[in-house]
Amino acid sequence: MSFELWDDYRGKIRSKKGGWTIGKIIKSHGYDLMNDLVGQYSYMQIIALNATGRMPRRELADWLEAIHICLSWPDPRVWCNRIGALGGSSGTSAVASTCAGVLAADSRSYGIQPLQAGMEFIQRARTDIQQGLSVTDFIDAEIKKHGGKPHIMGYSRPIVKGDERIPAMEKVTKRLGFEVGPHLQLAYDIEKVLSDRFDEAMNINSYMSGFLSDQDYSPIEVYRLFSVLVFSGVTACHVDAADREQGTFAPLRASDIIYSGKEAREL
Amino acid sequence: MTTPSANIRSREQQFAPRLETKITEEIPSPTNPYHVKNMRIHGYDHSALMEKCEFSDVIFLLFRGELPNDFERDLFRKLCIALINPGPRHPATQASITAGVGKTDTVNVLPIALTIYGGEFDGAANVESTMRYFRRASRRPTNEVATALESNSDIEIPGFGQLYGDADPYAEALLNAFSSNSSSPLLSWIIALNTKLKQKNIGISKAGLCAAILAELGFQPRQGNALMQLMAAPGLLAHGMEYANKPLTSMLFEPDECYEIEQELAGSAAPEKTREVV
Repeated sequence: MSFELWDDYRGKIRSKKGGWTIGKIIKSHGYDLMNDLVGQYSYMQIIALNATGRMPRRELADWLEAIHICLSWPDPRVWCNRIGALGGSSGTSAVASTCAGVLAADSRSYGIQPLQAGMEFIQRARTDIQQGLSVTDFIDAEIKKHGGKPHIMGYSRPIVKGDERIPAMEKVTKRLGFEVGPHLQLAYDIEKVLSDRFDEAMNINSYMSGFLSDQDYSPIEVYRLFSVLVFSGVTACHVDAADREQGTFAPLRASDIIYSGKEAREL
Repeated sequence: MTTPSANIRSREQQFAPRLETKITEEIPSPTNPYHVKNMRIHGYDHSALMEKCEFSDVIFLLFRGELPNDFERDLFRKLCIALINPGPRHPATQASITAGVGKTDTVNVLPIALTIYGGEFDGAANVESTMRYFRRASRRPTNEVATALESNSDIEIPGFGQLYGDADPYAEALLNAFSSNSSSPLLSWIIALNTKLKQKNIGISKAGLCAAILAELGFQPRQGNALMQLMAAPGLLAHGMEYANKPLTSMLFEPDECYEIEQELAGSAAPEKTREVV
């Protein structure tokens, strides 16, 4: 029977994550939520548990929390934040505006998808280099793939060169007692070559990818773990705009738009 | 470890000072520059379009830049109706119903449903890649494509597959409803390929149907996924709204005996420090 699998699931729900047995227990990943987790683990630890099925040590959860602070700030010129602000200015709810901004960051250009790609890149780089390729040869091969341009995931950043978030996170990493592991070291090694040859430095994507790969996270786990990474800044931009007169965020006169289409024509 | 990243410099990129569009021309009101006196869509007066055109004609105009000719109009109108209602069992419709019955703010119901409809399972996620595939592959004889599948069963043909373990007969029925539009070369190629693949219990998917028609009509692949979402929106929303005034108990909530918590290896042991594996 071709549809046996779906019949097996029909009328029941299965979960490997947990659930609520009414009047008895709420389970999450083998834990009793109320007795084992509440008040004993940080919220970030639980977020990581829910996203990956693994409970991180408190130090790692604190690192994850710190990097979230780096990844979202209240400047409404940033694309996802702009959407939150437009929602605020339009009288859209905070929830809808924030979700809209989070959806926007599910993007190839910024936000979460490049982070997954950065994880894939640094893990692939480590495999290739472990198999005998030099860092320089690896970079040359990557540049060749991109038509001779140094467009390497995690090593350029829109708008600016450099990334102030890296020195900040380096301090956090050190304070929390983490060593520089092999993936992060490789990220630095790649940066050295790119900096010398192309004046390009690593951005926070590469730093995160190296560090999180050293913590044994996979690319898809990181995508899931950071799925709402921009939400806080989006909410802030929504609130700023929502507290002003409606329509005052980025208002445009009709004449502000350049029309470059067809001339007026009869139907 | 220090990094050159600490040295922050602007790339001095030039951003556009104004928005530009080929779609909409707004003629400002003489008294308030934020108001519009008249609007044209690709050169046509908006009110004239309201008087003389069908809804699907104006959607076509918005995306393609021209009103459809008779052949295009018929094809696009039929596609809009073909995809208009994914049906109550579809995950996106169930999401819409769940939002409706949950008394979710009604302005959120459609975005919720469309978000789920953006998935791969009987949804809109793969229209773009399928359009690109059809554009390339339709230059080859259908026999060649079908034979490639025979020689390697791991090959996937975008736009074709199975739903719930079999070829999807309703997607095929929708495809056959376009057989009168057989002057479409791409559609003829799709129908022929579907016939060949049917012997292997593989058939056209709804995303494949959407991709075929949109590619035939000259839409950009990049528009494909979102257009399929747009076309499904009315049916998705209608089902959510049907439940918007019903009590919570009118929605499924599986009893405990139908809810099975399976053991997951990483979370199955007692919550001790040693379990902190990351």
